Amino acid sequence: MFGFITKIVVLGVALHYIIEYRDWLEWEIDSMLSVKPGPCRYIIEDGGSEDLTYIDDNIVLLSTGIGSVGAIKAYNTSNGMVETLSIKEAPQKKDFLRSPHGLSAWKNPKTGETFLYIITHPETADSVEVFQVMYSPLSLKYIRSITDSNFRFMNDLVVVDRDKFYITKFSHYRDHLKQQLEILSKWKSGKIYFYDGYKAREVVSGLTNPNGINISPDKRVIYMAEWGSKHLVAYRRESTNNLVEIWNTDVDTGIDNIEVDSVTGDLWIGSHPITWRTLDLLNLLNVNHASQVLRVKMVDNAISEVEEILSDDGDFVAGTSAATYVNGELIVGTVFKQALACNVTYLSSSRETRGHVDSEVLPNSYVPK
Amino acid sequence: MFSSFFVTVSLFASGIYYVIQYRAWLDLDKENVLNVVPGNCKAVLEDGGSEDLTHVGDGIILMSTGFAFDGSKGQIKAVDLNNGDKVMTLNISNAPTKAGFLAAPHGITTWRDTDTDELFLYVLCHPASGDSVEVFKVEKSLTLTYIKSITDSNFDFMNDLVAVGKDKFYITRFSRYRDFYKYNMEIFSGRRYGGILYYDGKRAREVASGYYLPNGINISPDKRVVYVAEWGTKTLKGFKRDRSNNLMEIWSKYTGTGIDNIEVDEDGDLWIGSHPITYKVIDPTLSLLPPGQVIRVKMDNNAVSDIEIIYQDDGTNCAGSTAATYVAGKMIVGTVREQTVVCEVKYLSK
Repeated sequence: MFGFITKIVVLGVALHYIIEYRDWLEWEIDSMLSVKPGPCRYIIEDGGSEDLTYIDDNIVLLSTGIGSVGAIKAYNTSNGMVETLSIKEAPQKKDFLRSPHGLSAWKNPKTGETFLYIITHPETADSVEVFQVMYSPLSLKYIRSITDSNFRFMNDLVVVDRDKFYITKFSHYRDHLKQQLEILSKWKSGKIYFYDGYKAREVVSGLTNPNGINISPDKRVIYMAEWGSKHLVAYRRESTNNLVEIWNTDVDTGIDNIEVDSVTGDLWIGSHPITWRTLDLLNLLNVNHASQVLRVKMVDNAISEVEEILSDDGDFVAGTSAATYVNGELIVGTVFKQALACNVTYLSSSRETRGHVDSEVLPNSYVPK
Repeated sequence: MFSSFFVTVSLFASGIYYVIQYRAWLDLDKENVLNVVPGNCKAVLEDGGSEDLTHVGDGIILMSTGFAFDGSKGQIKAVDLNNGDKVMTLNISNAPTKAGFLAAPHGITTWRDTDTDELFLYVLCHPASGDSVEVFKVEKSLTLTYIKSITDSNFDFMNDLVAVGKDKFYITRFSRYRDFYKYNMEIFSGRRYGGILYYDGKRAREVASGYYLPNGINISPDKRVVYVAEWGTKTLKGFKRDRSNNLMEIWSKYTGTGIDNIEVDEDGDLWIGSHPITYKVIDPTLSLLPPGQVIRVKMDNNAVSDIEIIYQDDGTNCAGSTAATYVAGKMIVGTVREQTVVCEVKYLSK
C-alpha cells in the first residue's frame, strides 16, 4: 500500500517535470502570428547583428558576425546607410574580433569621449575589446583587451565607468555542443560579474543562462534577461557595486539583449519565443528561428506594461536578439540572419497608467514583489 | 503477465497523452498575453459586450448586445464610426409580444436586396423553446421593423449565420445540447457534434458535420467560399459552395488561438475576434478576466496567405473578444460580456 502510494507520487512528480520541460521548450506553439509596427526593410541581409546600441547623433552601432570573423557596423538613422567601421591601431593577434557578441557604449561625462566595449570569443578564452569611437569620419580606435580567468562563455555587458562593467556568464562550456547540452540540462551555472578595472568578481550566481544586461537611466537599477528561465530580473546597485535583487518576472519568452530608452526608461528587448527551434541542436532540424521584440514600459524602475511590437514566425526575420527605438524607427538585430529598420507608426505613450493599476486586474507576474 | 503489463503501460501512456492534449487545449501553460496596440483605442461601450457585429455601410456597425446564458432579452445597437463613434440602441417596431423574443442575441448577419435596396438583419437568439432567427428590416432611420421568426427542428445550440439570399443562410451548430450543464459536458467530452446547416427559405438541412464547436461563419466577397471558425480546434476552414448550396471543405488552417466570429473587409481579408487563453474564457467559476485578441487573416484567392495580430490586450481594456471588423482606418472589437472597443489602425501591411 505504502509502496503503491510512493510509486504514484514519484510518477506524478516526474510527470510534472516532463510537462514543465515541454512548456519551457514551447513544444505546443505551432507558429507565431505576425505583428509589425509599420513598414520594415532590411538594413543588413547577409548576416546578423547579435547586439546593438544607440550612441547619439543618429548612430546605432551593431556587432555583426557572431560565429565567424566579426565586424562592427554603424547604421545612420538620418540617412538609412550602413557602413563597416574601420579599426585604427588594431592588434596583430590572430582571432582578434572573433565572434563578436554583446556590446555596450559609455560616454565620459567630463570629456565627452565615447568608448565601445565588445565581448568576443577567441578560441582560447573570451576577451572584451575596448575601442574609442572617433568622429569625422566615424571609426574605432583600439585601446586594449580585457581578459580574466573568470571569463568562460560570456554574453553581454553594461559599462558603468571607464573600464568598469557588469558582465553575464551565459554558460560554463564554450564548445558549441557542450554548451547546447549544458542549456538542455538547465544547470544553473550562470553568473553576473563586476569588473572593477583590474579584475572580475562574482556578484550574482545560480542563474540559468543569463543573457542581456543593461542599466536604468538613473544608473541605480541593473536589468538582466535570464534567457534560460525566461525571467526579467532587476537588481539594485549598492555603493560596493554589489547587486541585490528587487524583482523577478516570468515573461514566458526567451529574452535576449536589453536596450534602455534614456528618456522614458522603456526597455526594448529582442527575444526568442520558440525555444526548441532556437536550440536546434547541431542544426539537425533546419527550422526557422521565431522572432519577437518586446517593449517593456517602466514606472519607477518597475514594469507597468509589456507590449509586443514585432512578431514573426521566422520567414521575414529570424532569431531576434536585440532592438532599440530611435527617432520613430525600430532597429532590430538577429543572431545570424538579418538586421531590420521599421517605421513605428504608433507607439502608446510611456508612463501611461492603464486606468487602474490593480493587482487583481494586472497579471500577477507583472506586479513587482 | 507480459500482456497485462503492456496493457497497463498503454493505458497509462494514452491517459498521459490525453491529459497533455487537454491541458494544451485549455492553454493552461499560458499565464497571460502581451499587449499589441495599433493606435489610440477607447471603449465605446463598457457594460455589456457585443457578441457579434457587422458593417452595413457608411461606417455604421450593427451589433447584438446582451448575450447571457440565462436567456434574458438583449438589444441591437449601432456604432457610427464616421460620427464620433456614437452608440445608439435601435428601436424595434412591430415587435411580437411572445416570451423569449430577442433572448440572448448571438450571431448576426445582414442581406441587402440589390433590386429594392432594402437591408435585412438576421439575429440568432436563444429563447427557451428553441433557437430562433429573428428577421428585421433595417430602416434608413436606423430603426428595426420586425418581420418574422425562423425556427427549425434541426436547430440545436446554434452560434452564427451568414445570409446568402433573402431568408437564405448558412448557420453553424455549435453543440447538440442547449442546457448549460449538458453543454459544458459536451465541450469536455470532445465529441464532434458540431456542423453547418443551410436554410433555403423553408427549412434547414445539414451540409457539413463532424466538427468540434464550430463558431463564426462568413463568406468570401465573390460568394464562392464559406469561412468557418472551428473554435474547438482553433482552426479556420474554407468550404467551396456548389450550385445546390452544399459545402465541401477545401482547406484548413490551424491558428493556435480560439477564433470566434469572422468579418470580411473590403479587400476580402478576414477580421476575427478570438480567445487566446481558452481556460480563462470558458471558466464558469473563478471569474477570471479573459484576454482580448483580434487577428487579421490575409487572403489570396480565398485561401490564407498570412495571419497577423492587430490587437491584443491582457483583459484590462478588452476582455473576451468575440468579433471585430475594419472600416477605413478604424477597427471595432466586440466582447461577450464586457466592452466594445474602437481603435485607430495606424498601419496595415499590404
